[in-house]
Amino acid sequence: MSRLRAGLLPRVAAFHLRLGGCGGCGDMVDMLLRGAGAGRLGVAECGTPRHAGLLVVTGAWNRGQARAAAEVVGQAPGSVRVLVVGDCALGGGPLLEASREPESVCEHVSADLEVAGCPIEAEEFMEAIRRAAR
Amino acid sequence: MSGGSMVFVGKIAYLVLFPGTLFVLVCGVAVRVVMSGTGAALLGPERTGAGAAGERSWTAASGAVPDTGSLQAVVWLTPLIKVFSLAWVSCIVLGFLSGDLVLLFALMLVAAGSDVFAALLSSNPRAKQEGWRSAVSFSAWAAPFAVALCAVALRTGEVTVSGVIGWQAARGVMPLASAGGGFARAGIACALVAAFVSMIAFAGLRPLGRGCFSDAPGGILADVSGPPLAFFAAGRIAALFIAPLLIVALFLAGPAGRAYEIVFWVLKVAGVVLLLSVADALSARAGARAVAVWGVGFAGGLAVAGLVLTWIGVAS
Repeated sequence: MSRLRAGLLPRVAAFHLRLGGCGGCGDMVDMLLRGAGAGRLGVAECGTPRHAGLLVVTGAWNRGQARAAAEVVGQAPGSVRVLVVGDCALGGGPLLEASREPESVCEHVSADLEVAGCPIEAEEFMEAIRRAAR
Repeated sequence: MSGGSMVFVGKIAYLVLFPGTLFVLVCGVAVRVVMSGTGAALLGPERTGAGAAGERSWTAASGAVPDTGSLQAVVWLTPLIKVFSLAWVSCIVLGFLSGDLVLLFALMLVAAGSDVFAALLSSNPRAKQEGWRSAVSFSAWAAPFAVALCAVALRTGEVTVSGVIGWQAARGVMPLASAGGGFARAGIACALVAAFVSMIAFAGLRPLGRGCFSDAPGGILADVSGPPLAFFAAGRIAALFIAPLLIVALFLAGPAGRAYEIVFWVLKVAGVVLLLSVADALSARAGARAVAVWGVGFAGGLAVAGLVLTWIGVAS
């Protein structure tokens, strides 16, 4: 019965936007969005930002990717919720000095939820996803 | 109002309310819930794809249709054409509007073709690429289903949908009816299997269809969000109901007037929905080449064999 209930629960379509960084947060986000726990979290990864109810952003907003990143954000529906994940995305992190003009994602996108850390805690991210999916 | 106007308004009411658009969408949502539940029961909550109510973020969202993608008129009009065509099919099958098998097939071609044309008209290369795969899926249901319809017309000697349903009401379910002998029964059984396989592709289910619910969206869906996306989802939902409705009406004795017959009809539709759900849940999405082989090749060949056997049975 619990299987059936979990299968019928609504899921929020999530799109992962990966920007500059070591990729650790991005890999963890991918694992959690695509892995065994995603169904119970109430999210399902979608293949295009145009269908996203939740936009998960990892990595620093840097000059090389700024135009592409802005286009992805622009393609998301107006009601999309934005979850910014990791220290790099929040304007910090160990790669701050090595990157080309890194900026915080929050300077360009209005964040609804933030998960700090390098690397992030999986439990913290899952809790943020649950809150975003509500 | 004159009598002619009343008839016209009545037909519009059929198309819009019952058994047209509203009815088809409500039943389609019910079918979607059954399919989602079957998938969850068989595979657990970790199956791929969204839940039954997974589309809520689409309809709630404001649109973000890009200027560089599909033409605005295309993304707004094609799903409406699809839903309207399928509503008309429902009205014909349930006996509220008259129509023959050719009209039924033409409406299905329009409904399924609208998705393909919308994808191919897009300037988005990803949408166009998926459009060709959708075209393969389109031919995978259209070719065998057309031949299966010919077998049905040959067996019954009827070209109207109501005539086919009436024939079965008088003689029993088509694969079991004694008219035409063993060859005709075997032929119709082959046509039934071919029609079932083709309806999998028509409804966009796995393994033969290109769906928007159970995997990463492609085709025209990559171009749209907001209300146009909700309309496309409505078209897919309508197709989920029309597929079992057609199989039951054409092969398993469609809806008739008496109360117990309506109950049996609902049970038959539910049975076909369950079979389609199991096929969808246990299959992986096939590539375009496999879709062509299994749709046009296997189902098409089976339908042709069914037509030949039916012809032999009816002629002898």
